[in-house]
Amino acid sequence: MKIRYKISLWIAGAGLITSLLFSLSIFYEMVEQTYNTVDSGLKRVGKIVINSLGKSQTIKGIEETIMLTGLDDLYWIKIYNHNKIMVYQSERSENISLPLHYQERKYTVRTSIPQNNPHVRESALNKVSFRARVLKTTLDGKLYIIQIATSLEELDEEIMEVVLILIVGLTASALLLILISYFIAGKILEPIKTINRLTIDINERTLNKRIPLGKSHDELYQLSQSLNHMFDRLQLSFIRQKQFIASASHELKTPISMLRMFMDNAISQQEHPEPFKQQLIDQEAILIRMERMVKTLLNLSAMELKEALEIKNFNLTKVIRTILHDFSPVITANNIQLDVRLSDNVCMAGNQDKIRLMLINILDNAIKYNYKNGTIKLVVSETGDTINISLYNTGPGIPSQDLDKIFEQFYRVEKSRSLQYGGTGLGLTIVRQIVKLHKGSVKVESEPESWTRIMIELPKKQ
Amino acid sequence: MKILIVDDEPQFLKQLKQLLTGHKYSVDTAINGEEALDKLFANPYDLILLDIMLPKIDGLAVLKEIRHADINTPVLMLTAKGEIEDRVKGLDLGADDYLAKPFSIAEMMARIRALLRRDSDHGIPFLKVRDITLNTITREVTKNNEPINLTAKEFAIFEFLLYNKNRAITRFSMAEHVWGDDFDPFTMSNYIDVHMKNLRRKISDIGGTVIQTIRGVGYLIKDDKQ
Repeated sequence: MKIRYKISLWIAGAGLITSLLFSLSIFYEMVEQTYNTVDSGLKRVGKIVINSLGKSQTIKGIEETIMLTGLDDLYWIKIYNHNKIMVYQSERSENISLPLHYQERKYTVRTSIPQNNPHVRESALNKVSFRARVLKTTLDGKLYIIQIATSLEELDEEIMEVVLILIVGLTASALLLILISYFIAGKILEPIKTINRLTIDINERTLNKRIPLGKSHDELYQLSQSLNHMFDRLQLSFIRQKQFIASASHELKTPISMLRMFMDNAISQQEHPEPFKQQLIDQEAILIRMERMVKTLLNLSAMELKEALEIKNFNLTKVIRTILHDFSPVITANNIQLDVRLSDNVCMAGNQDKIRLMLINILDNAIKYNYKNGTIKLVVSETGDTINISLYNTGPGIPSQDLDKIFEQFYRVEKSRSLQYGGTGLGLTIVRQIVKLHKGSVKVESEPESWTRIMIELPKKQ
Repeated sequence: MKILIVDDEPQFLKQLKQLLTGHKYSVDTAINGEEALDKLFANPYDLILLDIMLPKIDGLAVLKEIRHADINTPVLMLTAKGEIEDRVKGLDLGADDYLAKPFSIAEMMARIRALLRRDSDHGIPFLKVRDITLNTITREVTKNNEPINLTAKEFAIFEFLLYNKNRAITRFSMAEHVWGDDFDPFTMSNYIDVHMKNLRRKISDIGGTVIQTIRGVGYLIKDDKQ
């Protein structure tokens, strides 16, 4: 999941929980407040009833007081004597039975109301909530229990409305929260995106570039700084590596030069006996191999350090024809049948020297590891924007378990062959590196004791 | 013929000096750029063998300095960095040729002779053996003033042997010279003989008296006059 989604979810979730808790507490407070008002209203009515009971002493008197004050418009009033026998009930509370408690208390009941009660709305139908309050008073040593109740019908409706408003409001604010937090998450992540973009821009060739630091010294500033420090170290090690290659080339090549010089000189001396000369020639051969290995290895490291080559358009057909011409005495002498399918003027953009080196290497292999009277088939074809070079040769081939290793440095199918065939053990590594620098691909197929085919795909344009 | 060799490797200087002295050249040496400049401003030379990688003042700086001072002595750069950029830079600064280390002596001698010949007062671009003449500029070969048609490879082999008269040249060295660095001399050296056969036939070298075969080694052009 994207960090942006995560952050928006977290913000939205937190916001939602907060507003939910807030609404709940407000709701609770509101309901409690309302009940308190109702309860104190009930108490007030109770007081009036008790007062009038004290003044008039008779039930009749109470009835009059209630009628006069119009209390029974809103309240259901019942009075019981100490024997729990109802001595009075207001007009509208007839036929409605509410459970009676004999202790002073407040309570809520739901009870059914007979049909056609004019004082209750029809919509309420069967059951209506009532808030009731029981009060006690003694008059002339006699105990009276007064039950006052009021319908919560309207209040319930009011509360339902509030709940509805809260649900709608919460849903709306949740949606809004998600939108806002998504936007905020984007804002938060923007500098990270910028840092990422700038980091991608820094590669081997532009290692001297750094991420510009922001003005505020925040975490992102620190991140940029850490990345810049990392690039500093990276650049340093790259420079060291390059310097190592430069000095290694100097250090290795000079002694080899000197050795070769002695050897050349000794060989050209006429007076040495022939067996000694033969030994010198053998040693020179080893020296030349070593020299080639050093040159190739350095060439390879130089290419590995390079991001891109100098690219020019060139005629591949001409390059291949020239190489084939150079190899022709070798091919003829080995009695190899050469079959070339190459159309005129196949052109590509690339580094001609490197492509030439690549072709020489694969052709050299095809000749070296071939049978006498064998075959070489070179097919160069163009498909769309790619050039396919397929080089087939008969020969001992490569065991299938070794196929993926042949591009490794110093890998040889048969170690003992190295002296017989010469070479550096780096030829195919060079080939792969050149193909890679041209953004192409190389594959090898082989049938042991039969044939080998190397297939190279190169884009026409770089 | 006076040659100045500039290289920071004393052993290398010593060997090279011995070798060139043996070929009747007068040789002076310098171990660093400063010494080289001192000697170059004090004495006239016919050729400079200049190593690029030198401590303090490097070969390219030396080259720049002397060309700036109008010293036009031919310069053969010796470079250990086979990097093309260095060669191009050197040639741009006025070097006449380059040799990438390691190189064979035969190759170096061929380059030295070519440079000296080009710069000599006579200005003769001819290499001769018996009645055969090779013109290094027009790349023509004549025998008794009769033109001989050689392929590029045959010409290269012949020229290389002529530049290294009286030295036995191995097939490896020839292969390196003729086909260049990119080809494996082990693959190519076996086929020097094919070209040699054709070359001998064309210059009517019956029995191999002009180009001698040195068994187990390679080939040699002997010229007692030199």
